[in-house]
Amino acid sequence: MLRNQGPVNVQRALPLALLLIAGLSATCPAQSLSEQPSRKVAEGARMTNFIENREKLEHYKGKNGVLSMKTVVLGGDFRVTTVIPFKGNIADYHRLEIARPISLVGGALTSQVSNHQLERLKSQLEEKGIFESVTVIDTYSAAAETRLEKRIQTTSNNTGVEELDSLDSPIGSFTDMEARDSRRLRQDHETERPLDLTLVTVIEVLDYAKGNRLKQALPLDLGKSILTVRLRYYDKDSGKEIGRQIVSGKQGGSSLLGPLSPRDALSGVADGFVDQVTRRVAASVR
Amino acid sequence: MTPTNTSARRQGLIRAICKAGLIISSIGVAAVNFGCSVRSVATEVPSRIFREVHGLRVRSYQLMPVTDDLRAYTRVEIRPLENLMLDQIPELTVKQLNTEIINRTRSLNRFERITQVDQATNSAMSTSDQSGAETITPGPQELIVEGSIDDYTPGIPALRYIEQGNNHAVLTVRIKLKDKQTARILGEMNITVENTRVTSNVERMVQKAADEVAEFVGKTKRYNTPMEARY
Repeated sequence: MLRNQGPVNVQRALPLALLLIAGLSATCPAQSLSEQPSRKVAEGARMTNFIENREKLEHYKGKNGVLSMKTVVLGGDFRVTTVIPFKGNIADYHRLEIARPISLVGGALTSQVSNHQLERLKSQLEEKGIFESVTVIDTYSAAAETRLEKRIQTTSNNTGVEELDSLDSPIGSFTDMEARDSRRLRQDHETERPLDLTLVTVIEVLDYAKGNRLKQALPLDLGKSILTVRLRYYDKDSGKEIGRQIVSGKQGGSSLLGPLSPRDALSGVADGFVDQVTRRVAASVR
Repeated sequence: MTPTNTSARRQGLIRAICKAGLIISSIGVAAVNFGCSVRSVATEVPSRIFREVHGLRVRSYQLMPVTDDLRAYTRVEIRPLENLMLDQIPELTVKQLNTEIINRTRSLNRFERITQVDQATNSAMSTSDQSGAETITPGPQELIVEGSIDDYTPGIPALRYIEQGNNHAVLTVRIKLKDKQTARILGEMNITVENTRVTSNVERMVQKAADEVAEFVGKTKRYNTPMEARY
């Protein structure tokens, strides 16, 4: 009996196994096909997220870094000096690139400290979610970008003039004219499309002292942690400087928590930088 | 015992407890206040005194150490500092800083000839010949002093009185020493002067910055430490 039932069971299980094999093999191409749309969906979600986050900024009030409850209790106060006020509409900038800090304090700023500063700034800006992406770049040369932009402009202008507006160009057929019309329409469309620009921030460290918490505990106004940076904001495409600010953070142990406070000069600078960018974005949204 | 007696006694007890509570809390508040004021006196008075004495501080950073022997340079050309703070620093302060740098360098008596260059025309404005000689000998090497004003804030005096917030005055300058003939950079230094005194004024800070610049220009020795902080 048992011997006879074996092949019967195998026969019964065979369609099921075939179905399983077919199903598994089908998932692989399905996955590879669905990968692209899912990535697009994720990108779309990020895009809507950052747009929503920007819309929420309508009632954003800037921070007072010089004196506030937070600085009285925790310390880490900051000052901002705007040397060149922001030009243009910051809402057009969807991406932010932060260049590695340039040390103007010689060897006082180690690469470890510099990386730590960069990470803190990046994470705080990502947390805010007002840019589609926040990336770190090694260097940014505004002069090189300007030259490149000029060259691209000249080339594109030349071809446009030659192809479309030259009086010497022969009269084309009806299809040629149609093609030119559609090309012109496309160009008009591109100019009307909302701008998707990249903002580049160059950080120059002007003053840095790590500080000493033991000295801060002494009532002698010593051991302060200080960080002063100059932030230059550039439009990546044109290479133009669109803003310049000095942000300086300080932690001197004079807060209520004194030297036990978790905040330091970098906390102040990070807060100041994020606040300034957020303020400008909020103003543009309004 | 009548019920009226019991209720009266209970009321008296409650009143006594309330009184005791009030007294205890008053003593507590007074103690905290006393403690706070003692703490503030103990901690703030020394720091205020210390700040008044050592409130004018200098932090200088070497960007490029001076490795050459600068004794051969007997002439110096001082160019006005490039103002990277634009209209955030008063014109008068910039002028005072440039003038003070020349005056302090002159008072060192290290150079036989000091030339001041006008920023607009880039030509020599005034020449101070310290040797007293009429003719200029072509031999000696000439040093160029140039740089920029990187940071400036007059601070907030009202906040300095209450010792709160980011209130101090700051002036940061970056100075470059160059060989005039070869245009080679001989040294570069970042100098930050900070004034945290309650009685601080910008002029004193500018004078201190000019002092530091002159000292850097006049030094003939090599620098060894990457950062100097003086109080």
